[in-house]
Amino acid sequence: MQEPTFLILTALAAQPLHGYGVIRSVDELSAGEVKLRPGTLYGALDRLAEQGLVTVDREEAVEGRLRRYYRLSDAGAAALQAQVERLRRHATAAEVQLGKRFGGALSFGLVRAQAAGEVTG
Amino acid sequence: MTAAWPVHDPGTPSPSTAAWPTADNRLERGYRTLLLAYPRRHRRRHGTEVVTTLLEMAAPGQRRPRVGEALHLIGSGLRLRFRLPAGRPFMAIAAVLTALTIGGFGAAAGSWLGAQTFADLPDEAGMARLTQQAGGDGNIHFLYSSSSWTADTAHSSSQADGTWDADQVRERFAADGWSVSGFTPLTGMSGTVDDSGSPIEVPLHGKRFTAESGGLIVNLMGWNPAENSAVDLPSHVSFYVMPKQTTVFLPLVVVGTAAGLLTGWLVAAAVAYRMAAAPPARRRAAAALWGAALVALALPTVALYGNVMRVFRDGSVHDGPPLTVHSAFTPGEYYPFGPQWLVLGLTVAGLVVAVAAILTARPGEQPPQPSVVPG
Repeated sequence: MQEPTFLILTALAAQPLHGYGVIRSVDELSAGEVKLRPGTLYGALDRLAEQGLVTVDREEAVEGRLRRYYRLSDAGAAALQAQVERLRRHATAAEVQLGKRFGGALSFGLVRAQAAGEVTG
Repeated sequence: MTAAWPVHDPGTPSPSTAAWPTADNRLERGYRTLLLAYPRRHRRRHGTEVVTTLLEMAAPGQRRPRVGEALHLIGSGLRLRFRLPAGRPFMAIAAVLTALTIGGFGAAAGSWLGAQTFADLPDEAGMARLTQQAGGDGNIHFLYSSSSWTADTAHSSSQADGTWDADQVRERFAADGWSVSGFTPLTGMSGTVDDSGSPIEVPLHGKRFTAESGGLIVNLMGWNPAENSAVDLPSHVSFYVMPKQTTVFLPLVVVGTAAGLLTGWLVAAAVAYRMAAAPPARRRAAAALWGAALVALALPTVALYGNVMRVFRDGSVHDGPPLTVHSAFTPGEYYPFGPQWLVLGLTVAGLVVAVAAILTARPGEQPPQPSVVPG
């Protein structure tokens, strides 16, 4: 699952949102790192609707303007949950690997600090 | 009026209506024009809500789509045109086959366009003049021949007016502005009967040369009987005229093939979405028809790609008329089986069935769309 798709599903997890609502929500969720553009958003929503991961919740239309609210389907919630677990596993694995690296670097740093202390102390 | 977040007026009766974006008409028209890059199904489904979102994101006072926005919308629309419905592997296979098929027809279209730049073959009067120039007598036999592999050629065969004098004929062509080659000596035998009716063979010797002018090549051969032959045979001269391949021909075949492959994929994607939107019974019938069309077009496609391969593999070493791709449609014996019109007939049948598939895959009842009035 690509990052924009993951963030769109995440944005829709709590409540139904219309297109611009999704764009703002993704902006907030990613702390401004991911700025969805309308072409990307509606291409992704179309694909997610085809896959049955999102559905149209309701529509509001006024004088040539249309807001269509999308919500996560049960299949979408399951797909998002599966992706969350997958990312969590990968994040945990990455932390473990970094911990090993950090542990090695730390011990090396302590030895250097001790040596420095002996010289100056 | 310019695009802006509307300022909430406490006097406005409906806060929800006040939250709708307003826009300069030019900006909205600009967005709607850019949406033409999207497939029609996507425009119908999302057009108004995409425009609403774009207007909500527009800067205050913005009157035209920004360049970045325009490129993004065009790029997104084109990408969607190439996209296939999700989770339908058979449609992906059908799309590949469709793209390859139409790619072959694109190569044929490029080849046909390229052949339009070839010089025209001489007409009847032109062939008569050339025959006279080649040393033939007034009794001309000529014909035009076509083939499933090459451009058309014109042939002439006649008795020489006396002994055929190769040097004189070549000088005549050179004096007339033709660029002539050196001679290639020829030897041969002619079977005939002597005065007593017994079959005999008469040795022949001759020469061949080519002459080129105005995009045409004449390949000319003349024969004289051996001087000490037992039977008095007339001399003979024959030639064929063919166009010379032009420099734009091969690039046009390449461009035609590429355009055909792209068009094929776009057609396949559009048909796939049309089928996906059709009710199950019609979808199955349309898929069967599409499969039948691909089967019918398989032999023509193989013939076209066979000619593409020959054009690029043998084009530079081939002595005869220029190899072409679209010549596969010429009635003939491209395949050693079936009628002469096999390739052309299967092409027409395949196209008819493909159109039937598209008509069969008409969409079913769509969910009601919100009744919005274009702004």
